[in-house]
Amino acid sequence: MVRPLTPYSQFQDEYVGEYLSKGPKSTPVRCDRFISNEDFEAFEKREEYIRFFARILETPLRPKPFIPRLFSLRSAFNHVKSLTDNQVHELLLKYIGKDVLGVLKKVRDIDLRKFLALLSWISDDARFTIYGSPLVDAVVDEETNEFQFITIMLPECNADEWGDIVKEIKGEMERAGLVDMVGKVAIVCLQGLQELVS
Amino acid sequence: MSARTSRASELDPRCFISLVETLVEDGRIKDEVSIRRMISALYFCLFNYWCAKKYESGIRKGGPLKDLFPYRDFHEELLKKKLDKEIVLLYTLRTASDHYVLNPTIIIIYDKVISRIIPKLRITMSLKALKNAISASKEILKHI
Repeated sequence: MVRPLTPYSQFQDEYVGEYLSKGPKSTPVRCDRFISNEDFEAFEKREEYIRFFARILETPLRPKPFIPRLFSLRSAFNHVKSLTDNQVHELLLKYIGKDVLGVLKKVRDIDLRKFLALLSWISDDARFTIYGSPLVDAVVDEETNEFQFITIMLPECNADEWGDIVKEIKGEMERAGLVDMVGKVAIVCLQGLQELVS
Repeated sequence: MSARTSRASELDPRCFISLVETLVEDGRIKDEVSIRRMISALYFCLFNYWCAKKYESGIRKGGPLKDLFPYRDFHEELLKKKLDKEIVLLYTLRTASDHYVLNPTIIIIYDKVISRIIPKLRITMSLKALKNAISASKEILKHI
């Protein structure tokens, strides 16, 4: 039995606003209902074909699982732009510790709004949540004590997956207008790094 | 060295990386000191080469001769080129090689995670780590 699906665009603004104002834990994730318009159209078309061939073959329908995309990085960033500085800081503290935020606030060329949009997007996209909740760290050089880059660590992805995940996330950052953050953030597959250094 | 010699060509690390690779393949690197020094040298030969290329392209930074480049700029450029895996691996190994005494050693990755176990990265200075550092260095070199 396929659950009823809703084109994402009808709920996008409402959902993204609710999610970003209340944080990742407060909003129930209704992944089973929300899909993108393109996916919705593809779904309808696919179901039509499946039903057609299923009738011919008289076999039961077995719908394949979908990977829902609740909101794009661009829409997350557009919403974050409208928040006050205090709201941005409060929301960042839902994802990162005070120590890390303290380091990031001292680095003048880190755009915290873009960083919040990136974190909220990665924390909610099913392509990345399968690797566990992201962990954030600020890398400071042992010798110079200077900030180097921010790491966003996905705990459960391995060394083979690492390169593709980096390309996917950074490609989306470029498309969403977060180009200046691409060189300031390192995407780390923690399990993969552990494999390579032990 | 003549005054007209290119700094970038003088500091090109291709030969050095190849030398390290040969030493590993021939089984000449066995002790931990050699492993640590090789990992550190791989990082710095790439960094020096990158600095030389930047200097020759007209970029000036700190120091009396404006040839002192910060690590951060090096990392930032490689991250822009999506070499996160390679530079994070090499920088992590280099930091452990130069600053941590125990083998294996542990780096705590801090985060606000309270209810879960704080993740720790266990780093072993081994031939396997050195081989991974060589692979990462070769990939980084292609993009400098």
